[in-house]
Amino acid sequence: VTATLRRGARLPLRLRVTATFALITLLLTLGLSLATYLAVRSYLVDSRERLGTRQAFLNARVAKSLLLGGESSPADIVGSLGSDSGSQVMLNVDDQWFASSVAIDPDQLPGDLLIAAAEGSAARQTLSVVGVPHLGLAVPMPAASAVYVEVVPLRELDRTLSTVATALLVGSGITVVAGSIAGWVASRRLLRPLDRMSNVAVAIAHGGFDQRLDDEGDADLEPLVSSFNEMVDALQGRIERETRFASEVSHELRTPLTALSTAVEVVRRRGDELPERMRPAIAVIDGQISYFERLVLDLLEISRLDAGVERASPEDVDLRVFVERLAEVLDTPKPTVSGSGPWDLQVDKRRLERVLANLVENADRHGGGVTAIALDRDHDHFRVAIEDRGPGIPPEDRERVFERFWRGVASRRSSNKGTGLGMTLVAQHLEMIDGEIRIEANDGGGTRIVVELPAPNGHGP
Amino acid sequence: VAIIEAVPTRVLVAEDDHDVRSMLRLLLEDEAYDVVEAADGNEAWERFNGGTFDLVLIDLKLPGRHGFELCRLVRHASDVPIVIVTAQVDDFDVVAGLEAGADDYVTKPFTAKVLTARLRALLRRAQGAADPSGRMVFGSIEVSPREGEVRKDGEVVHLTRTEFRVLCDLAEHAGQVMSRDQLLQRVWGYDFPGDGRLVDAHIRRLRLKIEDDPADPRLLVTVRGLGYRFDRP
Repeated sequence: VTATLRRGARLPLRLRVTATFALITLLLTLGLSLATYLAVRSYLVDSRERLGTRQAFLNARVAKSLLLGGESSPADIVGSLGSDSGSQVMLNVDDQWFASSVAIDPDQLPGDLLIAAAEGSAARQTLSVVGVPHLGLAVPMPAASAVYVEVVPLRELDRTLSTVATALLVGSGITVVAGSIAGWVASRRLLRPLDRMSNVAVAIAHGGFDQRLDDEGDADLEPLVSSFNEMVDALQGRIERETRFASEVSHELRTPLTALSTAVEVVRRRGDELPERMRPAIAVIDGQISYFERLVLDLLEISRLDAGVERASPEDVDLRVFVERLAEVLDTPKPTVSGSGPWDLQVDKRRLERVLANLVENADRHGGGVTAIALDRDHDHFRVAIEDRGPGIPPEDRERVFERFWRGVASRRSSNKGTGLGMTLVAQHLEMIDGEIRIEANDGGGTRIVVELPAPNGHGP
Repeated sequence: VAIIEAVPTRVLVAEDDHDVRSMLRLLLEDEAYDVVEAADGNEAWERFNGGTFDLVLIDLKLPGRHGFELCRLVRHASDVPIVIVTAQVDDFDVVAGLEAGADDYVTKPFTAKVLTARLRALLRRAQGAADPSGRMVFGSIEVSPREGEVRKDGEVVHLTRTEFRVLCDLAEHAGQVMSRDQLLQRVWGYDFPGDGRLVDAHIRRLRLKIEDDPADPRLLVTVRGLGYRFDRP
């Protein structure tokens, strides 16, 4: 059963928590702001309308008495009433309109308002004049056979409401930002145990099997912590059992191999004393035992590397001195050095030696011997190239040589066969020292194997 | 005219596996060694006390007394060269064996060639320095390669032959850095690259014996990334 934590590409947890907090605060403050706005608006509109209505009735009463008094003309009446109130006052006397200003044409008045007034009831309606909201009020005056109309601009109210709306929007924005920050902080707090867990997991991955999580008395964390710790216990037990087993297998295989190889050496040294017919048989035993020994050693090495308990132990190495010395010991042509030093790097010497010695051995076994070793560098890399005489490795096989027990056609027929594990070991050791390997053909029909190691930063040509 | 018989080199082989032990006997006898076998740790300790030996071969996984303990006992009692034979290749075994006083180690399966080369190198060391030069005095330390003797404040310091060779090599090149590989080649006769831990373990042992404060060495100085240097006080 594979438990997958990732379902497709998702945002990181912390971002998701923060976004959720932001979204919730956004919805809450928007709802709250909208309700506040609507309440404020209805209250303000309501009181403005009440004020306007009271004003209109008062004005209508004045207009009526003036009209009935007959001393003032309708035009004078609207003029005097209009100048006090800031609103436009209109009188319809015997179907003739008199207005305090020309800002609003009587035709712009809503029909419903006038019809209601004509039918004898006072009416109120909002209307928009060139985009500005106005309140229209009509008061019928049957006694004077006239209708009093007042159009009150609501610009002030509108301005107040838009100020309120702006304040609410800004407030909402600030709340959302605060909500996001709260979400970020909360997610940090929530993720802190996960951070700790990840630190412990990393420590365990690097071999610190004595590391455990502490639930710090938190009942919510306890199940997670205890199952994590159980998992590590199980893992530790398993690795210890496997390591013990591997070590026992190693011991159990090495001891008889030692007896065998020593015994055959004793016989081989006295080869002259053997009857003629026995010598080829002993030679076969000798060859097979040494092959078997190489195979066992390679397998044990691979299983140690597979177990993941091995660590590179880097030390300071002068690569040029190292390669020259190794070439001497392995009896290969003297390395050619191109490019200038320094050749210092930090590397696990024994692993590098295993890699290069294996490549030289392969060249000897399958490639007619090493023809050249070249050392060079660029800014970021050191390169050691080992060339052989041939027959070369066809391009389609260059990946496969790293597979376990893969052997080339020529090698399968050879009596001096390798274990088929050398290149696997080369690749695994190289991986541990951050090295890379390339297989190329050289001009002479042989193989050029290039090992590339990271050069330390900060110096170089 | 006195007739002198060649005195064979006596080797104690402490190894629990019968076949390995008897094959080692044949191999070493062919190399003209005189072999005494021991099948477990206790027997090995008895045999060791019952005779004189030029070399001791100790398998680490011994029944009775463990190889580490046997190694410590033998080292405590004598300066005889000790070679550990181990089927364990874990770092721990090799390092612990060297700490217990071993001079060198071979891992199973070893080739006869490697084993006999190791033993020969050890015996050469045990028979004295290659070029005994004059007495060297460094403050309170006095190194006399000819006599195979080291004195600190006039008192003889007890060194194994391997420790002595390491010290002489460094002292003869006082002020110069010797790399681990150089020391391995000169003292142990190792091909390149050898196991630097052999050198490190011997330097640690030497410091305990000749430094005033082994934790703050003034004579045997580590030169990071290069090796060791003997500093004149």
